[in-house]
Amino acid sequence: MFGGALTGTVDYFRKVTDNILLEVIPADPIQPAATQWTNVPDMTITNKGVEFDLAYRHTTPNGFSYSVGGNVTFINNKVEHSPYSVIPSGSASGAGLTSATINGYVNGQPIGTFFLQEFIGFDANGLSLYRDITGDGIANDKDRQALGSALPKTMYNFYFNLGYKGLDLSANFNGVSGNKVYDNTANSSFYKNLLAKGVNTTPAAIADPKEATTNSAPVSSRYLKDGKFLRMNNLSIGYNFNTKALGLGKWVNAMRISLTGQNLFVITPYDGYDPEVNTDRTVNGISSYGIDYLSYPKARSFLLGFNVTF
Amino acid sequence: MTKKLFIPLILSAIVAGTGCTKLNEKVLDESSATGLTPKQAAEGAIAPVYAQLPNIFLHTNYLAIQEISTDEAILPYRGGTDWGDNGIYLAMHRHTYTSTDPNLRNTWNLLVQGVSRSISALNSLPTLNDPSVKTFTAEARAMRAYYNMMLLDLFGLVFVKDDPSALSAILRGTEAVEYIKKELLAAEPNLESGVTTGRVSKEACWGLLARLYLNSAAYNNIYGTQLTFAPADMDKVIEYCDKIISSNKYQFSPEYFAIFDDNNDTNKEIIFAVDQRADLNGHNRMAYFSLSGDQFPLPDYVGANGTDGPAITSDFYQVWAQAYAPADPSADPRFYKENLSIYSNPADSCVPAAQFFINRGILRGQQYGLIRKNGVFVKCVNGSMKVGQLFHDTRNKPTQPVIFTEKVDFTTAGSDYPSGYRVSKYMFSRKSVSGRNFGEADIVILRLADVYLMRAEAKLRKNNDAAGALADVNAIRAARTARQKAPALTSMTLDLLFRERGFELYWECLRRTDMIRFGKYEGTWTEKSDNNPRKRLFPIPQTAIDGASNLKDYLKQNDSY
Repeated sequence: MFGGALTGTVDYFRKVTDNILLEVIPADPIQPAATQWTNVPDMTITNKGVEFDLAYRHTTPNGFSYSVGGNVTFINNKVEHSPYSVIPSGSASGAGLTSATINGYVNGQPIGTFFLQEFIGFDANGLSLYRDITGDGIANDKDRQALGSALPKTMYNFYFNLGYKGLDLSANFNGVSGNKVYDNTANSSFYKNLLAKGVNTTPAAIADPKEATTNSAPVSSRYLKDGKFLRMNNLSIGYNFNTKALGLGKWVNAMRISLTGQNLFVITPYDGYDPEVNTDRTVNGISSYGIDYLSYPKARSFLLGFNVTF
Repeated sequence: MTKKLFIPLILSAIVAGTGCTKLNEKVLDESSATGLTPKQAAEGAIAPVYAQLPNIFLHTNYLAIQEISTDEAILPYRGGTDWGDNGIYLAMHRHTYTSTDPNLRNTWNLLVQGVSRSISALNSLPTLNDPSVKTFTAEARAMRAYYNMMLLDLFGLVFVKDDPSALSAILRGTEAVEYIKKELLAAEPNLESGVTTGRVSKEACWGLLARLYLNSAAYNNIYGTQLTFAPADMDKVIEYCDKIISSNKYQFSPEYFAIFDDNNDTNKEIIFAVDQRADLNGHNRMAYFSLSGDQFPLPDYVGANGTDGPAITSDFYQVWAQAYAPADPSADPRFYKENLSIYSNPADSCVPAAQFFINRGILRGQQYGLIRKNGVFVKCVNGSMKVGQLFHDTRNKPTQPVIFTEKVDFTTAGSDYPSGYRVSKYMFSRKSVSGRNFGEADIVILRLADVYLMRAEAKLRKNNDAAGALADVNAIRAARTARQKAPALTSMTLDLLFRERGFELYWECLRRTDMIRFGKYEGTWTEKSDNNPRKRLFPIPQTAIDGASNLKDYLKQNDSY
């Protein structure tokens, strides 16, 4: 289109996986081993979506060239026909938390679903309250629900390049939305009880004045956070010297000076170090998704380059 | 330079080359499955069945869930640094435990695996041709019953299974009690009498039957407000206790704490125990759990200390104090044994290393012991170990003395490192390099005093035979002759018997079961006010419930969880 200046593709994908091999806890616990591998009967995982890719390229008569482009993927992932109410994965880390699981395979939900009790605030005594889904008057593990997935609903990236004579500038961005991150670091280290005993923690521990200092912090949606982000991955500016004009053409073929910045900024509501995180908290060989536990953030780096080609 | 290097290289290549041509293997130590004698194969089949026990009787497993859930033990968030574990020990004490409690899950996993290992042994033993097979098969059957009995006691269900590939039938309540009874009775004729205390003997089986009959009123009707103890059951308790007592195989230990010493496998009072004889890779957690992090009980190892784990509640201490007032509770030899004379004679501050043993029983007030400075223990000029007042050096609070206080609760003050009176019941094993491992004291599962107390209780419950019960209780008190004896009691009631079980059996993983049977588990004590009888059973671990969610209604969670 437009003489080849605008290009693009549209892809639709749909993949159904069945006979999924998972290591599960047997229904009858009287077994030589605590877990066994099995092809979960009937269970399927359907991964479908569309991907758009668009790019536009143009050069003006006076030598100014630019291109912009990007792609966006919309994903819909769904677990179906599982005989289990949940196949748990993603064990929590931290003292007293290790027996709780965070992710799970749940019918009608994507893989990497966070299957948790929903935190709804504090009671009059400052202790945590959780939503009672079953209506039996007690909030407990029977009240766990699917509260979003670590798999983003949308993934995108876009870029632009500008060039004028020897000068060029390029940038690219990427981002996701519609996903959640479980902040296990906060869960295990930033709770108010620590403060009551004079242990260092972060202001997050005292965020809610209604919380009692004796409140414990089990795994729940309290630490489930929105994981969407937009990251400026790369920004690069450079200048190619005209070596002939400088009178160096005999000895020097090309000369370039450039400045590149990587990971310049991230826009995200996530208040952990980095939303782009996946600490491996595999349970029984079943992968965990979107759990942040004591992970390091991505570094921001600047590169100053000076290239001379002889 | 190159040449010099080259020649040795060639030489070594020649040596290596000739070496390879004459490779004669000399087998020093090797074994193969085919080389096993039938006896070895039989032992190899039964050993894994028992091997679950040390881990079940771990401080954070069975001890924690049977004791911290009661008035005998409380574990606060020590100093805000230790035993926080996101509140699981607070929840255990308050009866707010949940199905994701890791200690409940670990105990459950070990128990179900114990049942499974028993089934494996029951299937492999009959294929072997050895005289030991008959006894071992009976032991595997009795152990399957014992693990199921623990599952019934803690989680309210048993798993019935003979064929390893079959699906277990799940029984609860009376059906479960009848199943365990049937299994123990079926095993009994082929069990032996003279085996070590680490194996199920005929007498151990009788003791388990007595324990089952005594508790069956609770197991039959676990949430019942009023438990009904059938006279026929009480007769059975008396019958099996009589059989053990009249076998004359067991004697009371004149020194109470000798029952819990290293090498106690020869103690005549023990009927059934977790075998932790030397080199069996036992653990020392029973001794280590309650001591201060600044108590170093072994002159040989500077790294062996306590961990400031649980203390007794002030409520439990007051039971002792009031029973003996105006005298100090140490009038009862079971309460306390002084091994370091510095406690009564402050001048005695040098003790030869071989004679240094920490005090036993319930530890109160200022603690004395080995003083560790710069990683070594301070010594006296004569080479003896220097013994002095202890401070919280390992907590970076060198001016705060290690003074155990009666008050211990979940407030900041009540959660400090030295809060609460501590229990030093088991000997701190002399070979426990780290204080955690290499324990050499067998952990008692059943002993003669428990048998006497069970018989006394059955007599009381059956027809209020207070005189008979009193005689049994006083027989125990009179038998501790090594030091001053506890005064004989003059009357007996169920409340006094419950108190006596606490005095005799504290921290022996029996308290929760006792409290339920005596209707006291819903009582109020330090930091505990929950009175929901549904908490008598623990929740089945969530992982097991999720794992069984593909079979509808197969494994049902207990009420209220």
